[in-house]
Amino acid sequence: MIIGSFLYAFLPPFIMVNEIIDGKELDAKLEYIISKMLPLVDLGIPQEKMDKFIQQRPYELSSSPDHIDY
Amino acid sequence: MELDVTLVAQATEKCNLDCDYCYLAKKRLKRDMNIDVAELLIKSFIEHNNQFAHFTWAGGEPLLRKNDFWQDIINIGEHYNKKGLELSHSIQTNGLLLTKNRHKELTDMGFKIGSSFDGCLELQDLNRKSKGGKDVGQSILENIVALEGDTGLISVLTKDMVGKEEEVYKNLRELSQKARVNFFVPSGEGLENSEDLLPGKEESYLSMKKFYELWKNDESDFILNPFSSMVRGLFLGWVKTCDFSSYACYRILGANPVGELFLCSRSANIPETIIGNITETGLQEIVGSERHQIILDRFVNLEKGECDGCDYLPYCSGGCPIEALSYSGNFMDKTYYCETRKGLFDLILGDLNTENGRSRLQEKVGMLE
Repeated sequence: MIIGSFLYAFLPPFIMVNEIIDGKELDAKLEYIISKMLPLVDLGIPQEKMDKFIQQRPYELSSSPDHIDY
Repeated sequence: MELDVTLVAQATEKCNLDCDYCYLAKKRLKRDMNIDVAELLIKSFIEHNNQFAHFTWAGGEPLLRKNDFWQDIINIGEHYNKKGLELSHSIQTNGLLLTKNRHKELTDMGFKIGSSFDGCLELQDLNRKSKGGKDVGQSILENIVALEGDTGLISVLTKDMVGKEEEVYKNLRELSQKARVNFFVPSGEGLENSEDLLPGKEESYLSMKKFYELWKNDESDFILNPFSSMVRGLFLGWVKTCDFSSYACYRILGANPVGELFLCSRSANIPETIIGNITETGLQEIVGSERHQIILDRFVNLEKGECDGCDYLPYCSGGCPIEALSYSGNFMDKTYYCETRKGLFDLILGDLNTENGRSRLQEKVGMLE
């Protein structure tokens, strides 16, 4: 197990990441990640009900993310 | 794309407990947040956002701050909320000062309160002693009992909790309507004690599996996370909690008492994760800055690398980046608990693919019409 107090001294160089997603602006990154966040559709749930879940999506995406439960 | 952001702020770095797994270092500055800094933070987040402004006040131990500080926090929020945002304040406490009277005073002001409790006295006193090394679990438990379920609870899955799932579950269910079992993250003081605290990967999976099964088969309305969130996530496309989603993580910032903003409240002892200081830079310049975007870059990086081909990446985003940093030293890695999370998603998906299991879980998370 690789744990030691020295570890915090090193974060990967930010430039490395920027090269991977070269040229993509913030909105493009967000839209890309959101595009990946789709409900599973192969659960045998009737399409009508799935459509309702998908209709909730804009609200879900704009609502507050959760950090701690109260 | 304008996204509302949430703040988790340290009202103080002082604490009345000395927890073995504290995310802050034992030797640290003991600063209180000046009300002027709090005002600047609240004003900035309210002005930046368009729909809601949610503030979680943590520490250290936030209840070491007097009620006049908390009343000022409420007043400041109301003063600046000209746009009529959905405004809320929460306090996350260790519970030692959370008497019924103090709870009433704070909830009357408008705060929601969450407390930590490790599920049973033995575990609580093992890892969460007072500054002088005294057992204070009984006092905390009495405070929580007196609230009659009116507070959310957080427990931490350490090596010591493995094997005690039934007792922990039963207690959390009796004490609260909503609880969360968090993975132990070896950060701060917890990093020094990680050999004793960090469960093995298989242990963490089996323990969380047990908690999931206890929750799934429970007829009550008790909510236990992360499972409720994970199930909802499979229906809605993403798990809304920050430790499962880069999209959620990106939208929750941490702040220390002097107004430095961090990628995460958990990383407030890691200088490399500072993304700005609210006393020097406007929030508009900090949110979406190159340093802030690393949360999003991590998702893309993982998708092209370690998590290539994993169906669960949209639902876990490689896990909490601070977990990854704590374990491997690389913020961009997937988390230590990757296999645990995958195993849990496999379990849940297995249940969702049976008619009975799907109905049961839909009911558990309120997804039935």
